This record gives sequence, C-alpha cells and structure tokens, in this order.
Amino acid sequence: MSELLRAERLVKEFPVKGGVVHAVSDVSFAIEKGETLGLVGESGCGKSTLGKLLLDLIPPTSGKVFFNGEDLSLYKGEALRELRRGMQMIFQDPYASLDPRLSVGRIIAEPLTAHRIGDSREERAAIVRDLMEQVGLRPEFYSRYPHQFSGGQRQRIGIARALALNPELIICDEPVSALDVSIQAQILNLLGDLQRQRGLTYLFISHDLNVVRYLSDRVMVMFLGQLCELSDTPSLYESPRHPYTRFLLDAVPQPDPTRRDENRALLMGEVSSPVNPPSGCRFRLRCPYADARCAEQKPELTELAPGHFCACHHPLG
Amino acid sequence: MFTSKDKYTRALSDQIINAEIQPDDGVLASIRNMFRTNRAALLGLILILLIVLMALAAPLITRYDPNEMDLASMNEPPSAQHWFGTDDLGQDVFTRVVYGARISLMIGFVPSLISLILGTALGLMAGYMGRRVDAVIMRLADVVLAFPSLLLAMVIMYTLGSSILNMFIALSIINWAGTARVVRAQTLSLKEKEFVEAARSMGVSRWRIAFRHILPNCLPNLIVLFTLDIPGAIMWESSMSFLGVGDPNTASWGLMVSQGKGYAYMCPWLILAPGIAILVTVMAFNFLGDGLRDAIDPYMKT
Amino acid sequence: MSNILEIKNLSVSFASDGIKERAIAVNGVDIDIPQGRTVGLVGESGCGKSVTSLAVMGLLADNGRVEGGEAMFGGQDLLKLPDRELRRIRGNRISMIFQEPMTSLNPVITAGKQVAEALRLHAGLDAAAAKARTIEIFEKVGIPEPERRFGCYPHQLSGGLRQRVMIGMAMVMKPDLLIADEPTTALDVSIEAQILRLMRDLQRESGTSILMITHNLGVVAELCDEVYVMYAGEVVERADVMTLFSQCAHPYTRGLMASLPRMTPKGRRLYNIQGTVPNLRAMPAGCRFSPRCEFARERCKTEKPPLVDVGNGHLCRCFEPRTTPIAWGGDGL
Repeated sequence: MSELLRAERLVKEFPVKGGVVHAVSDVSFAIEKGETLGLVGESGCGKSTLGKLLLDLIPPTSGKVFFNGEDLSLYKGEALRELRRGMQMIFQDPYASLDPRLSVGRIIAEPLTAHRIGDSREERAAIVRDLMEQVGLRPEFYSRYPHQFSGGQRQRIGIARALALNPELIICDEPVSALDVSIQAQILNLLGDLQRQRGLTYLFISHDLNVVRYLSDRVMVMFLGQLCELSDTPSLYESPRHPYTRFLLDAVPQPDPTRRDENRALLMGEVSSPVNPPSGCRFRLRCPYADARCAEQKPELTELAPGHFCACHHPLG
Repeated sequence: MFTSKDKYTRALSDQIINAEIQPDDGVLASIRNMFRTNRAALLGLILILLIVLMALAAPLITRYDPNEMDLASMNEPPSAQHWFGTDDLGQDVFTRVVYGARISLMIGFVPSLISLILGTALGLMAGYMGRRVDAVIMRLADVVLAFPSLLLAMVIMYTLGSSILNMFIALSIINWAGTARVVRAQTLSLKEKEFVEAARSMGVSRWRIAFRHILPNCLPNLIVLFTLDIPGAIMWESSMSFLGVGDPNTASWGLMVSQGKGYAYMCPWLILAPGIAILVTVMAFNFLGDGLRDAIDPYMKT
Repeated sequence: MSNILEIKNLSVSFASDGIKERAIAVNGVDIDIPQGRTVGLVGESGCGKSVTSLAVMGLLADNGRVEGGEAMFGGQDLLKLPDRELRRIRGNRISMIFQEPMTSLNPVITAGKQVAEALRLHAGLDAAAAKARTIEIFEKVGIPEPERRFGCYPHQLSGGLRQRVMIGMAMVMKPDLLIADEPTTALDVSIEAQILRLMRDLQRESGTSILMITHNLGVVAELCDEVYVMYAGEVVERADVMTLFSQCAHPYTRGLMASLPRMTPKGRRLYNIQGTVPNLRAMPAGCRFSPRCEFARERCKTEKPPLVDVGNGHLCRCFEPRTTPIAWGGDGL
C-alpha cells in the first residue's frame, strides 16, 4: 500500500471571546490508498475541523497536508484547484448541503462545470445521468429539485456530486448520522460498493462507533483536538489502550439486552470545552488514571504494538 | 472519466427502491396556494393589475386631455360630465387621476428598481467581499438610515432641483440602504450554509458561488422587498409633492393633493380623488407584499 | 401487575394546508404500560411514535386531532378530560422530557427558578422551601455545584446538564409515569450513558413507569423491559426486550435489527429494507409493510393482518410471523 494523504503537525486555533479554541492541536497521520480510515470523537473534539483542514476549506494555523506526495501549501490558484480535484467531501446534513434552488442535474454537474469537464451541456448531462444511476437514483429525476427527495435520496445526490470529479479520496463527514436506521444501511452499502468498484479511499468521520467499526480498516480517536489512539479496527475495538477509547466503547448502548451491564464504569463529567483546554494530557480531568505527570507533560502518540498507536502515559494493558 | 460498463452491480437493486419522490411543491405552488387562501393578497393583485391597465389605457378610458383647461367650468363638483369634478383650472379631475396613475406607478417602480439593484449589489459585496468592503458599505448605509428619510430626500431635491429624474435619484438614495442590509444579512447566513461549503470543496469559484448559490437564494425575499418598496416610494413622492418639493410639471397624485389643498373645504373632491387613488394603490401593494412574504417565508426556512 | 396507562385503539389525524383529506398519523394503536416498568416505543421518523404520546398528553399541534380511542390513566380517560384537569395531571402525575431540553426551558429564566416554580405550583411550597428542594433535586440528578447552577440560565448549561434539569423537573412530583421522547438523541455517547443510568436509578427509587420513545435500538436494549415497534402509524410488534432482540417475528423489526452494523465484518453488505416509508395519504391497502417486505404474498397486499399473539404475550402483525432466531451480522432475515 502507498500513502495517499498525510497530515503533518496540523494545528487550527480560533480566537473567541475569553480565549482560544484549540480545535485541532498537533495532529499527524497518514491515509493509505484504498483504505477506510475512521475518525471518531464526541462533539467539539475537532473531527469536522480536521476534515475541513485536509480539504483546505479552512486554512491551518500551522502544519502541512500532503496529497499524493505534494505539499498543498506550495500550490495556489488553478494548480491548487487541479490538485484538490482528487479529494471530495460528503456532508452530514442532506438538507443543508444541497442548494434548494438548483435542480438535481445542475447540483451534480456543478463540479464538472467548475473544472470545465465535458465539452457541451449534453455531454455533461450524460455524465450526470450516469452518476445518478451509479448511486441508485433514477436519471429521470435529473430536473427535479432537492426538496422533492427524502433524506436518503438527498444523501445519494451528495454522493453523486462527490464522485463527479472521479476523486481518489472522499472525506465523509457524518454521512449517515441524520438518517433512519434502514436508510443508513442503504447508504453504508452504497459507500462500500463504490469503494470496491472504484478503489476509493475514505476518511470516515462519525460519532457512531458501530458504524465506524463496520466500515473502517483503521480507526483514530480524537479528544479535544488531539489524537488519543490510532490502530487497525479489530485491535482498537477489542483491546483499546487509551482510557478514553475504553470508556467510549463501553458507553455505546449495544442492541443486545443480554449484555446489559448496570455496574460498568461510566465516564463521568461533562464533555470538556476546547476553549483553553487543560495542560498536558487534555483527557486528564476526566481520567481516573491521571497523575501529576499527565498535567505536566503532553503524552506523545507512540507505537505500543505493531500499527497500534496511543498517546497516554498510562496505557491500558 | 469512467465508462458506463463498470458501474452498478448492487446500486441497481437500491435503485428500484428509490423510485418514489415527493410531488412538486416549490415556492411557486406555495404562492399559488397563498392566492387561493389569502383574499387580501388576491385583491391586491387584482387592484394592481387594474391600476396598471388604467395607466396603459388612459386615453381609452377618458375623452379629456389631462392638461386641457376649461376656464368656463372651474371647481365644478362631480357630475355626469366630470365624474370627479374639475379643478381650479377647469381640468377634469377624473382624467388627471387616470393619467396620474402613469406617473405614480413610474415613481413607484423606477426608484424601487434602482434601489433594489443598487442595494442588492452593495449588500452582496458587503456580505461577501471581506471585512473592509463590508465596513465601508455598511457605514455608508448607516449614514443614510440615520438621517430622517424625508428630510434627506428633500435636501437632495433642493440641491439637484425639482424634476422627476431627481425625484428618482432622491428616492433611490433613501431606499437602497434597507435593501443592502437585508441582502448582506442573508449573504452572511447563506455563506455559512453547508451547500456553499460543498461548492467550495469542489473548487467552484467565488464569483460563481455568489451568483449561482447566494443571489438566487436571496431572490424570494428581494421580490417581497421590491413589492413593499413600491408603495413606500409612492408615499414619499406624495409627501414631497405635498410639501412642495416635487416636480411641479408632472401631474402625480401627490401633486394633485398638494394643489387641491387650498380648496379642501369648498371642493373636497380635489383632494379626495387623488388621495383615495394613493390609498388604494399603496394598500394593494402592501396586501400583495404581505401575502408574498407569508408564502415565501416558510419555504425559505425549510 | 396492573397497568398505569392503557392506550386503546388510538387514532390521530392531521390536516395540512390546501388538502381536504386529513392524514392518519396514528391508526388504532394499543399500548399498555405496566406499573413500575419501562416500555420502549420504537420506530423510524414519521411512524407516529411521538404523535401517540403527544395525543395522550393533549399536546397535539393545532392541526392534529384525536379521531378515536381512549387512554385510561387511574380510572380516567385522558382523551376525554377537560383541558384544565389534564393540565393538573401533566407535570404532576405524568411528566414528559424531550429531545432538546432547550426548547422546553424558558431561555430568560434561570434553570433553578423554573424547577422551583414547578414545585410552588404543584407542591405548594413557599419560595425558600422550593429553592432548597430544587437544590436537593439538582444534587440528586447529578448536577455538580447545585447552588451555583441554580442561578444559571439554560444556555449556560451544557446539553447534558440541561437534560438533567429537565429530568429533575419531571421527577419533582414523583410522577406515576414519565414519557421520555428521544431524551438522549442530541447527546454525546458518554453523556447518553450517564443520562440512561440516571433515569434507571431514579426509576428504581421512585417506582415511576417510563414510556421511552426512541429510534435507537441500543437505548431500547439498555433500558426497556417491554417494547412496542411502530411502523406507518401502527403497532406491528410487541414483545419483552429479551424476546425482541433474540427472535422478533415481524419482517420489519427483523429488517431493522439486521440493518444495524453490529458485528458485521467489513466488506459484507448490511441487510437493507427496500424502499421508503409510505406516504400517510397513500397507505398500502393490506399490510402497510407489504410493499417493502421480501416475504409479501398476494394476501398481504389486499388483506390487513391483525395483531396476533405468537406466544407469551408476544404480539405480531403479520400473516406469517418468523419463528427462527435472528442471525446477527448476516445479510438475510
């Protein structure tokens, strides 16, 4: 496998009233060609911000993104647009992410027009119809408007749009969280099919640990802007090393009443705010294992087992 | 690109399931439905159409010339010959009201259209082109809005001179700022919408986003704003004509009221006829504008 | 065991602008809530689960109307009670909590005052006593620094704390029944787990029955004793929680279970229920699930299956209920 995207020491900070939001703090990782990398974390952990940084939708405070070995920060204007063609995004809200005043055909054709693909309107329309079929939409709906479609169908429109430029990498930002269970399965299957057919690479951002487990080859866990753990999926779910990952996995209500455990340890406290986070390990205020060292020294991401990285001074056995 | 051969193995099975979609119920249907249930808006629309028709077909409606004086019949009360009576120069008041519709409608439309275009362009720039442009444009708008509008318009008319063209300029100047504010606010909120972000992520250019995504989404509100600006402009013009800063050579309804005010006691028809014309027109546009707003607002939210 | 609430044959319709015919959102629903138990009401959006609870509480929107049925609560039919008496029951003997506590809290009154207000209203306490009792309640529902939080406005509290305030307010009068409508859907997993535990602990202590409305089968498995599954305005299945998760009988319930990515290995397709929920105005003639059901026969398309007992109070609305245990992680039913 070869590396498709690499983030190096990415940092994003926003000034707000009363402090600085440390949305993403010193995050480095790589995505291999053809894999699905899952990214999980609770609200405010910076996972969506990280997705946008990778796409250059917002500029990083510091750090670099390499795509296909090219440093994005060295590119500008037309050349940057050309390079970024290979990365597209699928958004969370199937309602807000489609312009209500454009027909479905025009929505899907937009990336084509923006990049001057196809010589004529007819040619582009043919490409769009083809894309619609690939995502399971009837091409007859070409000139309909988004509000006529259900949530699942709209998400398909968003997927067709992301596919239009034939990207290598798709960043999926919570693509199924707004959908009902049965529709969610349809979309997850579609994403899987497309990956197999086209050899796509996904960064799959979600708060739903079950969905991430199903779809991902590797998973990384974020807490307050920092990576806590990064590992291949089975080893992360079966033997998490970071206390936060452990608590998170335990907290998910499982659809299995025989596994109901009324006495399991819960992660107490509130979801902490990324404004002026604690020193050292940011998880330490909610962590039962925290000691003085956790306050003084920020734990670095270290490889505890082959391919299993964890940033903790007291990793679980 | 990809060939159509390598596509859907399984997506096809999902395709069947996505057969049904909702029937169309866009903003147009919502407006159609509004006219069916909102009688006031429908009345407004009919009245406006009648007034426009009256303005266009003025020579067919009355046999008099609006400027033809008949000194033999001055200040005559309404009669079979002169439906709304005559004024102090013996001119037929009905004829002047009918022809006045042309002037008053023009005074309603032209400055509203100018301020709509100007306000939209400036509002879009303010909301979209960064902080410095925003600061300059919005401070300018604040200055305009901080002034009492009537006073500002009168100052402009005094400075430029009383002509219908200057009236257009004055009314456009006092009106653009409100439109600019609305468009700016909407641009700022639309700019944060996910679909704009989606367009950016695909490499769509800034100009394209402004004209393809932001402007069309402002449009429904602009239509409402325009419909409500028209009666505003008619009212301003009437007030200014009444106060004597209008164009004395264009027989607008406002000027007629102004000229008739000296005879208000003896010949009330001189101010009643144009006064009622103003009232009916302004109300008609307000009814229509309110109805449109009710129809469009919920649609804009979903 | 006696039932605290018995909903019988409840039907609710809605009117919408410009369309003469009313849409039936809830059609002949029967639900029993036994004393001291937690009953789950599950289904996807638009299945009528929330409408059912709102109708019982007399909180339907203006365009909604109860078409028939009864809701027996302590010998009284809630659907026939005058507004004034219903108000006395709400927040006193029956409480409700919602998905977004922000919408049910007044943004310009501090959280503490709102709870204290409820106490003064329903328990007749004076201001000082109400405040003391409120702080006690805050402490009980796990709000840290209760004295300080008493003076906080709702927007100054996190989503989890707001939901705790709501639960505190709901449990103030030790109600006989707590209706919780997706109470944890807007919360993060770690907070969700805390809230679920809080609800369970409070229930153990006070003996309150809970009607848990949710789309999340994980939450059902975690908290409920009995479960009703709704589809397109009707109850399609009712079972105790163990039976439901091991051998639910209705193809829709089985489809829902199978479409969850539970232990499914990557690369294996999830089961998916074909199509989408039918339009309220164009319901299929026979079984409402038949157009999406892979086992549907001719009979299912014309004749409506009754809700029948398939054993030990396990009810299923299907002509051919499935009897095999569910194969988790497989792609068939």
